[in-house]
Amino acid sequence: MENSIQKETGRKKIDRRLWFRLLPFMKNYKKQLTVVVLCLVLLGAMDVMMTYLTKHLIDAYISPGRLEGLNLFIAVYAGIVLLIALVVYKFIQTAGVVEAGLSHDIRQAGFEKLQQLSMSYFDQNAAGWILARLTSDVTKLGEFISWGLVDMVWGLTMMLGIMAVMLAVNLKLALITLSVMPILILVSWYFQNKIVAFQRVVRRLNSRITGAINEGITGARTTKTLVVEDKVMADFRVLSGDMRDQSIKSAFYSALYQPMVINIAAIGTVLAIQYGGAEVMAGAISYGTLVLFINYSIQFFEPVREMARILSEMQSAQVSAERIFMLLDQQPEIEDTPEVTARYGTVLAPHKERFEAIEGTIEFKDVHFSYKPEEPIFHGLSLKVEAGTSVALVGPTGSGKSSLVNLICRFYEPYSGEILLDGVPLKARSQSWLHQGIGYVLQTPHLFSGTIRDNIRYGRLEATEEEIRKAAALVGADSFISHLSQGYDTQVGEGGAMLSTGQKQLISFARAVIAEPAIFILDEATSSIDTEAEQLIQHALVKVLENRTSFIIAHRLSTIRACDRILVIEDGRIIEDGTHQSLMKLKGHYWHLYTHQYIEEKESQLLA
Amino acid sequence: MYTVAMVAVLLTTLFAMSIPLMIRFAIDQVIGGAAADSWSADLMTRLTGGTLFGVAILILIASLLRAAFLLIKGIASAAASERIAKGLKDRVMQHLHEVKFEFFSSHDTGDLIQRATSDVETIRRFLAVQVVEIVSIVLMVGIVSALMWSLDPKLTFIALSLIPIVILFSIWFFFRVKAKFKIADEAEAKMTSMLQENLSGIKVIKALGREPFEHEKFSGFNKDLKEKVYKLILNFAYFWSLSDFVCLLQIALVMYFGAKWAIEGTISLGTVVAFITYENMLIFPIRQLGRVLSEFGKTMVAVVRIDEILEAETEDDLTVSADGQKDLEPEIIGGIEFKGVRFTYPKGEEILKGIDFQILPGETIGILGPTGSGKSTLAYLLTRLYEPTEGEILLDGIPLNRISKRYLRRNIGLVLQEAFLYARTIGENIAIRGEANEADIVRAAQISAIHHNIEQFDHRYETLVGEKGVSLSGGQRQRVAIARTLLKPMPVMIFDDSLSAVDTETDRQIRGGLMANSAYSTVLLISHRLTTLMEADRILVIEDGAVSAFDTHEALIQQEGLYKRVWDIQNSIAEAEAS
Repeated sequence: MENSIQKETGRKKIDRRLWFRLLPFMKNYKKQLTVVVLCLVLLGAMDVMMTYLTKHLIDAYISPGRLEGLNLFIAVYAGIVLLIALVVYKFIQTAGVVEAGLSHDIRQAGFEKLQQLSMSYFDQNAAGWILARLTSDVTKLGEFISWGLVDMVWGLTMMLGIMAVMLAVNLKLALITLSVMPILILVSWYFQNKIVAFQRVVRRLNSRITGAINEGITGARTTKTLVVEDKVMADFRVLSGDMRDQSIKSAFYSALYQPMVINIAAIGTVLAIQYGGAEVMAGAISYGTLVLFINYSIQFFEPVREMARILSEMQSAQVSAERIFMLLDQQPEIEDTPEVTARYGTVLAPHKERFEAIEGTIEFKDVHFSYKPEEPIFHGLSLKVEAGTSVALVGPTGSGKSSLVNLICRFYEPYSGEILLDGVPLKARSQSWLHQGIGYVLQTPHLFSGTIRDNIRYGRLEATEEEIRKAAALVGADSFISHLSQGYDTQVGEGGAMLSTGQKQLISFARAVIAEPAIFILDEATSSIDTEAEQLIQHALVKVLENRTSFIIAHRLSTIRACDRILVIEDGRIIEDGTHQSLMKLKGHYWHLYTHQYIEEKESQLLA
Repeated sequence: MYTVAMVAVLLTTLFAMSIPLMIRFAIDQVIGGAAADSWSADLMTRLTGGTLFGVAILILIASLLRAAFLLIKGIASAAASERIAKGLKDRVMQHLHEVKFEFFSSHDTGDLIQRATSDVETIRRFLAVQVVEIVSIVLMVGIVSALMWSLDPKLTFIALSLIPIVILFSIWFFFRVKAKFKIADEAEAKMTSMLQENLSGIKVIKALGREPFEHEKFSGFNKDLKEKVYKLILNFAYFWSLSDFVCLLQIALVMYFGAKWAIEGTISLGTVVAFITYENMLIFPIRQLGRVLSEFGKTMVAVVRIDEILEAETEDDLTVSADGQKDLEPEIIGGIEFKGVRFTYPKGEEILKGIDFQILPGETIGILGPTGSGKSTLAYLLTRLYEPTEGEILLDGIPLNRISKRYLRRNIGLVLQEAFLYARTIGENIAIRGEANEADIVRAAQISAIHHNIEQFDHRYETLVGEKGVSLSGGQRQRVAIARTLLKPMPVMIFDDSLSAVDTETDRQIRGGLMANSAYSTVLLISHRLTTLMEADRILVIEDGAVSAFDTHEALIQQEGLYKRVWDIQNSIAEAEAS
């Protein structure tokens, strides 16, 4: 199959290596692909044969005026027709297995890769972008591999078959008829380059226009208040005008190519009639042969016309393939060492029975860390938190609170220094081991679609009904759940859309609690919530923090005060460290932050 | 253009169909030496002189003409459809800029974008490809039947016998397969939304180590999708093989009867060959009819969806009032008066319940009120983005609804809370309201305290904003939006909480520049920040859709009320310490 691509498109724009890389995926379909190719060769041959049978009909029956045997001939012909129908069925069905299967396998590989990638990948790539790789790109690639290549193989077999039969039947007439081939190749080469180039221009313009429409609609309110409708529209008209002009130009080349092929084919036909006709009159060849050559000269060029379309499909399939491999080639930034994997298993298949219990003492030793080399976050951070301590992290945006938490969760790794959990470096254990010991509640609590029960159980899949209810009761979620008409069976909707933020928060607490994590992490929401929810959450929090090492990126005063220890972080340094009382006495940064926050909270309570 | 395309389709089909006649002529008359037996053969005898070379030239000419009209068809249909598509896009966009402000509250942006892009594309494709396809199939069936008839009516009957079956089968299939497509699409949608959830919840998944669980879940959806796609393709396998069978059988019929009658001597060899060629030309495209017709259904849906946009009510700008007077464009000084103004959002509760106040030209007014009290609504009413349901607003004594909307908005600088910037350079964004020289732009940027940020970008004022350029923070965007409003002095300026993402220090700095720059303008500052409000000449306090106080800072802190309560918090640091 690769050979056919190279033959058709031996040009730089086609990245051969990229297509070769698809081989491992095709391996699983060796049998099916062989069947498809066999079917196609058979079909191509039969297409050639059908035309040949017309020659036979003329020479064996019509010309000599022989009726006997005609019934049998037609019966044989009908038999071949049936055979063709069966082969067509078999090949579409088998190609269907390949298409559905290949797309499935590539998506599966992509998903498995995604689950192994580190957080940094998800921070750097928008979810929409990743999603498109595994949906539209995979579909496009799968379709091309199954059908684009099908057309190529079929076309090539048929062309080769026709050439072979022509040469076998009458060498001289064959050479005369096929003498237009070189022109055809030249013309095709020229036009296909042009068409592909123009299509690229149009595609680019198209994405610009989509961007402009996007902007026009999202910015429509602003445009109205600024009274710049005319300006925005004038620019848009220029762009849509460009699009129209380039599309027409591009259509010109596509529209010109087909007539060119038709004319070249006509020259072939005419040559066949001119010379073949003379030969018939001279008695050198039969009527049937002449008709055969005329028909072949038409049939031969049919696949050529399709090539332009297939090539442009191949271009866009290649773009898709490139993007998919970008994902598949992505190396996780954090990987467990082979020794660790041998002992604790992989992310997708962990050996949970070998996981050691976690006490919860965390130590940072001279940690250096940054997301981008030019913007260092921590330059030699050292910190020890005893098991069971709750720690509030406060400080301005970008000071390093989230980075500290990211490092504890090993979503990222320091580039020098180390982090120890219960005296063991994080690197010496598997990521799964760490994560099963951590309870994590996000600023904007994320729930999965399903019931409330499903969501709580997500924290520990083997939890019993009783344990689920206990966890909900512990965080104070049971009261609102029991008020819902469906109780624990209530569907939360996509992303938990059916619940309020406070309710989602409580369920995500329950989800964390049910796993009985040794370490608890909470990224608290900045936005204020109503007082009732605030009290509920506060109550839940106290329960959750009990006897656990916890780190809280805290915004609400009530949360900060509930913690055993407060770290004030600025520019990646811990500038104040102590309890609420001791830090207030200090009248330093913490005092400042606290009073400021106090005013904001009171104000927003008044103005909410 | 479309007429040109249609005529070209007709001509190219005609010429294409004439070639088999010429081949027949070559076989029967020229080579076979038979007498001309039909009008076409007569004509060709005269044209070619009965020589092979003449026929060859004739075929070449016919083929050239066929190709030429095919080219014209291609260009004309592309030109026509691209023009229509451009016109449609322009009209949709134009209309979206003319609709009422509230249109965007009741319509999802994503859906609107979808309509303006992919729905227009569906229509374009239909016009460019499918309309031409339908016409050419219909023409071909007509022309071929007529030509066949002219050669031999009996064989024509045979040659067309299975065609209705093919057509009906194809239409039946393509309409039926729609349901299968839907099943596959639904399976894909399920997989996609699971994937989407996985990506948006990836942190939770990782933190809980739920990758194996998610993997299992995904595998289920993925496998289901695979099966549904396969089933869909299987349907096509049935369709194409069955229709191939019928089509080829139709050709076999022609061959059988053609050969039989040729041997019996009722028709010529050339006629048989011509019939077989015609049959080949005709029968395979016919199978597409069902697909094209089912596309037509999709196009109609797209047309309706676009029409929904185009039907949306627009703002009437230059209306002629009942007494025949046109909208006014008076010089605006900046005196504002609200008289018993009530307002209810479409399908909402009453938000303003009788507002009365008066603002003098050049005054700076702070506006304070709880969320949802109707502060922003005041700004929308003043710019006539909405009209009061009751009561009257006067600008310099002139009823607001008598002043041209666009003129009004050109003279009132409104900075919204959500700062939207265009995908242009920063300089162009600041100067978007009209021509401005560089000095003006820099001055506006300086007042808005964004100049030094811009200077740090690689291309300074030439830096592109948005996806392809720098991404600005919320505060930076707000400041550019302010600079854009400050570029030209305006009699009235409204800042709708437009410094919320800027820190207190920068806020103060901007206000300082603003006051110095707009000494003669009426300025309305909607804000939650007391430090911002207290510097205004007077403060308007709105609670529950009504004015609860309107006085100076000094006066307001002397009386019980919302303003004083907020103010007291500022002085309650001691209390904070104690708790």
